[in-house]
Amino acid sequence: MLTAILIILTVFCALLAVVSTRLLHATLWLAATSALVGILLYQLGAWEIAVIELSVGAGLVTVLMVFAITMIGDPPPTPHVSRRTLLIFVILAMTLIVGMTVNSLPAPVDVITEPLGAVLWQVRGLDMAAQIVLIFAGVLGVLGLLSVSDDIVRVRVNRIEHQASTTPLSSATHTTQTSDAPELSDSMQSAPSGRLEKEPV
Amino acid sequence: MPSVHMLFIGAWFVLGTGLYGLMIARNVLKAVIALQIMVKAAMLMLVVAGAQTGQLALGQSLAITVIAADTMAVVIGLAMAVRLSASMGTLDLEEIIEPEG
Repeated sequence: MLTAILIILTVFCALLAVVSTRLLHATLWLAATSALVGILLYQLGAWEIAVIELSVGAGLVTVLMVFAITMIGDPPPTPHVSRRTLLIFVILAMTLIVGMTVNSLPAPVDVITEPLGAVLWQVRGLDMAAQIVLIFAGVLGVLGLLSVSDDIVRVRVNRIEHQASTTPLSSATHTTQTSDAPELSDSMQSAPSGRLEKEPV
Repeated sequence: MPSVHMLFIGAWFVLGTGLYGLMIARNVLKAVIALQIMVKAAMLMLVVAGAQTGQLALGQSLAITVIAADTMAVVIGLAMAVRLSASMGTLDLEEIIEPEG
C-alpha cells in the first residue's frame, strides 16, 4: 500500500515538474521526484543507490540547476500549451506496454546477497573506468559553466554601447549625461540574472 | 501484486511523463528536466530488474553508472544552456532552431 502511494506521488511530482511554467518550480518538483525515487529504492532494498540518488539527484543536480537558473535568469512563465491529445497518446502507449509485459513477468526470486563493492569493481570494472572519463567531462562542463559569467557581462556592455552609438547625437549626449552611465553600471551588476538579447554583428 | 511489479508499472509511467515533457518542452532547461525524469525511470527499472532476478547488486552497479552518466549529461547540458543564453539571448528551442522565423 505504501509503495503504491509513493509511486503515485512520484508520477504526480514528475508531471508537475514537466508542466510547471516556472523553471525554479520545475526544478523543485524534480528534486521531489528524486527524493521519492530514493525512498522507493530504499524500500526495494537498494540502500546504497538510494543514498546516492538522494544526495546526487535531489541535492547536487538541484543546486546546479538553481545556480544555472540564477545565472540565466528565470524567464517569464510562458502560457501553457495544452497538448491533451499527446498526453492521452502517451498514457495509452504506457498502459499498452504495461498491459503487454506485466502478465509475463516471472515471480520475484530470492535476492542473492552479494556485496555491492565486489560486483562494482570485479564485474563492472570497465564501467568504472568509463565513469572516470565521464567525471572529467563533467568537470570541464562545470568550468565552462563558471567561466561564462564574464562573457555575459561583455555581451551586455557591447549591446549598451551599440545602443548608445545608434541613438541621435542630441539625445545621445543627453543620455550620456543623465542615464547612460547608471544603466551601464546597473547592467553590469545585474548581468548574471538578466535575459539577454542577441549581440549585434 | 508484488511490490516489484508495482514498481515496474510505476517506472513505465514515470518514463511516459518524462517523454511527454520532452515532447512539449520549449525551453532547453525544461528539456533537461524531462530527460532527468526519463533517466530516473530507467534507473528505477534497472534496480527493479535486479531485484526481480535476484541480482540486486548487479542492478545497483548498473544504476550507479546511470547516475554518473546522467549527472554529467545534466552538467554539460546546463553549461550549453548558459552558453546559448549568452550568445543567442534566449533558451526558446523554436527561436534557437529558427532564429529568423
